[in-house]
Amino acid sequence: MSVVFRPRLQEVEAASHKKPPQDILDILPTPLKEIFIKTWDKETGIEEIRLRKKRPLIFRLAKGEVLFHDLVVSNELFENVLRIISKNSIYALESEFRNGFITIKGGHRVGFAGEAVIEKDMIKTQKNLASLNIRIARAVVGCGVEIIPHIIDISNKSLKHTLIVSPPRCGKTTLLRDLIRSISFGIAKYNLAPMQVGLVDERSEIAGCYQGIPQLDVGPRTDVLDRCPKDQGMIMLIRSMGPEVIATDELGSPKDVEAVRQVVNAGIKFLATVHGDSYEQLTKRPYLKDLIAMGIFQRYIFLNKFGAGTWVKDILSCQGESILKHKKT
Amino acid sequence: MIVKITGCILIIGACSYMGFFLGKQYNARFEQIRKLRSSLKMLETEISYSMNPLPEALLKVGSRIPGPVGTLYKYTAELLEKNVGLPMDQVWKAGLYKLSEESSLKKEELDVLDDFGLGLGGSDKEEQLKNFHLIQEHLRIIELNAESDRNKYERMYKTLGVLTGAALALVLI
Repeated sequence: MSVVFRPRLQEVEAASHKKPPQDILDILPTPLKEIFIKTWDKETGIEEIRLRKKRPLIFRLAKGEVLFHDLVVSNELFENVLRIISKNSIYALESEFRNGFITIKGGHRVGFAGEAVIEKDMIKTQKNLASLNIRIARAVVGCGVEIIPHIIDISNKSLKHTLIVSPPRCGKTTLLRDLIRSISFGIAKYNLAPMQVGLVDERSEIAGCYQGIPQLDVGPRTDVLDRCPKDQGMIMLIRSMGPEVIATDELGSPKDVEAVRQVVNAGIKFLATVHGDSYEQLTKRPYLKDLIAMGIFQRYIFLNKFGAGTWVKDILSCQGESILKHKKT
Repeated sequence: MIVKITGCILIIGACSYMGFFLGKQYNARFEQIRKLRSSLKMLETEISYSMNPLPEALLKVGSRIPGPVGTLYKYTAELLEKNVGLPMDQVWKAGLYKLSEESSLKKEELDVLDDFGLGLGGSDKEEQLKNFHLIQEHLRIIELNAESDRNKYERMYKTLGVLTGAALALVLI
């Protein structure tokens, strides 16, 4: 049996790309708005808008970037975008400047870079901003369909502890979001009952919460702890929301390790992503290697870049053996 | 004779009303400036402690302040909510125009408010606080003058109204 992994529901994706998202149009001043609509790719949309003061405007698309030589971002245009994003209230963004980003309506994220203001060795806020990165959120509903059978524990009618591994910009978070959504809905095909999911979304990337409400579909039984440090958040969720699954993004700090152990000890299933390339590399990473050595993760999913052959590179078992090649032989 | 008496009463009544009306303006202006000062203090708290963005902050203040001063806040909040992307100083100007029509405020304080609107929202917290201190200082002086104006002219206009009415009536008789 050969397994081909591709985001299968391409028609869903295509439909969602037909029109530029209104929430993005709302924050763009007139000249920018027109260019945005003109450049919008009906198939893949636009991934990022890059505004850098006194430098040309750049759009990043799935196929590559579009640079506008004749459109140098003026101070006025830059400040205008900032003013609209902040709702005319720059003062209210102090903590967002400190964190480096804000999540706007629709779950899209705007990143900032400027001059850091340091107080007592800590970043207090940023001033003289010169770079804005508007990242357009997109949920690829159904992209995890092919992966689900590999992470289900059929005998226990439950989930396996799973780690999604890939370099940045490969769709880790997109996959995680879709898995969460499926688990939260329940999967009739595999006889998996809906589960309560607790999601710690430290960087507001998974659910894209705006004023506490998830802007991207994470399912009907998912409780989101937005902007919360992962280690504290996971333990807080165990106590407060009684989840059956806990999901989070970008594991890696020493405190996370202890929190993951507590999650697993509490009998809760664990789902997370981590930056990385190969199993060997993961086993050498500090902190993370302890978790791997304990055999906590039952499945590792490795991803390739979108468009580079199959999306899923490999799926490994607890011991680091490929279960895909296993099937082929 | 009856016609003359009715005429006199009407003239005295009308003139007294005019006097009372003009006198009341001085009191209303003083009261409105006071309300402006306290509402700006509220807005300052909304900005520096609660860190609420302007549409919400303005609406909150507006719902707690009655009269034309409250309308300034409610109106600007509504404009901001409806027109995403409109600059604050323009919205504030529109609000002030409405305020000038509905209130007894004079150009002096409206100009101060106009200057204040240029800096509203467009900078970090420290700069915002400076802007608030500045306008409070200006309005405090204006309020003192308005109070002494009220003390001086309110009664004067009222008595003047009655007396003018009486004088007119006498002359016409």
